[in-house]
Amino acid sequence: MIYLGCDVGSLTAKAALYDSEKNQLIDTMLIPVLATARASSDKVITALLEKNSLTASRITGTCSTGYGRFECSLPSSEKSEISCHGLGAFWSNPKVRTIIDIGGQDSKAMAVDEIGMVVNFVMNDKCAAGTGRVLEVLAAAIDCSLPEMANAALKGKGKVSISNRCSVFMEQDVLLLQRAGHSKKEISFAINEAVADRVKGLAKVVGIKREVAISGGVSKNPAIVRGLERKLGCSFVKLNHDPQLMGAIGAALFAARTAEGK
Amino acid sequence: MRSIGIDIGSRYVKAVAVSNGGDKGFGCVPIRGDMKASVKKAICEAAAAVPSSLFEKTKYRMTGTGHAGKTLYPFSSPSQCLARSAFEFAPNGGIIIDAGAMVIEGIILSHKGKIIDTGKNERCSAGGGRFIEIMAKALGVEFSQIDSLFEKSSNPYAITSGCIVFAESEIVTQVNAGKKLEDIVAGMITLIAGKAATVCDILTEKEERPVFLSGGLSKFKTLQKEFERLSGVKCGKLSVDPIFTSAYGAALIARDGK
Repeated sequence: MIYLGCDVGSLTAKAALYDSEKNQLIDTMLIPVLATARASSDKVITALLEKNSLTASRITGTCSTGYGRFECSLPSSEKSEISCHGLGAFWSNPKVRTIIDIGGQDSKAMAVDEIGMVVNFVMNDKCAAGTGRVLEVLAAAIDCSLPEMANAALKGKGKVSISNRCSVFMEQDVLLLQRAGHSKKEISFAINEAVADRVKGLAKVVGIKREVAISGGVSKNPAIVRGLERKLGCSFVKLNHDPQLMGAIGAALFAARTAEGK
Repeated sequence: MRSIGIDIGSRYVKAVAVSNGGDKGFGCVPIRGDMKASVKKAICEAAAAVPSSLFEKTKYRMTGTGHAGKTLYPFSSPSQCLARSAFEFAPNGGIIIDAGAMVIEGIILSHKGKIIDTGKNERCSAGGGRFIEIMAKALGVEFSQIDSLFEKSSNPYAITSGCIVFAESEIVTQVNAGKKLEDIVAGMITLIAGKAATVCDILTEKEERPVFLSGGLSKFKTLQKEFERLSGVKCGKLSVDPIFTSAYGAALIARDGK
């Protein structure tokens, strides 16, 4: 039986198709968000079904997650992104017990049990510092793309730091570092360290239990990943699927669990 | 004798030149690349209106938070400069709320021009001019349109996000949902005015004194009106353009020779 999960985030909308008989992911899709969560979910679901020559009638169960989950067209149930990211990451690598998720507009740390259920979590959703959005804002401040900033940060030695934690004050710090003549690689390093510090604080609150995985769009930023590994004193285990899709995958798994009573 | 005060902000250098006779000159230059060049240009603009002879010495004083450790001239803190400047238009003391690009801060000024107490908004920037800058950009609105849009609003939208970055997403969502531009702009002004009113309330509880609103944000007439409505005070009039308050204070400190 085929299940569909849809995750509408602040910057991207994701959908995943899951075959419960084979316990396999059929396909996934990721698009930038449109004007409304409804339009984003419509587009990503339609595109994914069309790509796999499926119609909505072939889908046994659906579940939505993310901040736009209440506006999704097709899904018949919804789950919080915390539960979905937890289950998605656990299913992708069953050794995982702690998940750090850094998305566009929030970051969170979750502890999951041996069946993938979230047993504890901490979330930063009141302030943008420690999220993907602040990295975007600060990359723009130094006139870099996100990959360029990550690559530059990997070459930095940590000669300067950013002490402020508000994204706008951080932008001010970056301007001052530029005026003081510091190099782009050192400023990039300082930016990534400041963001990683914020996330480290969350992870410490929830407690680090091995194995630890990182998910969300920012998990694709090698400078943040390396910085967090160093600060937490552990290496992140690899997830067997795209870490940005954990929410959608988790939602599809929840749809299956609900329908099949597992 | 000519004295020049220079205020280096996050984006602009402001300079004010004053003569012993009371003449004033102003310069405001965006900082692009070389900060020293921007400082020089702002000084030239300000000095042009207050000429001095070759044999006269010009005194300089610098202030602001954007100097990045490069203090080209003797330095006074922004609070000292604000207080000195405020003493000109509030010779009997007062409460000065300075709504700038990054923070809203206030000082209680004694009748002798000394700072008695200070207050500030949170460690977060959701309340400074940068907030309006980011919001206006997201809405595609020019600064010059903000006052007139506010006046058109009949149902201001209450922005719920505390963080500037999240507020940007919130208002984009509201625009897409069909919320009127003027209602969002009015909500933004009310939010900032409320933050300034909170700083004012904290200080007026300690001392009852005339209140003055300075800083770049006070240039929005509707913000001052909202501030007066929310704080229940009537603002006194400044003697210089509010964006030059600190630079003017620095120039006066230079002139005083302190």
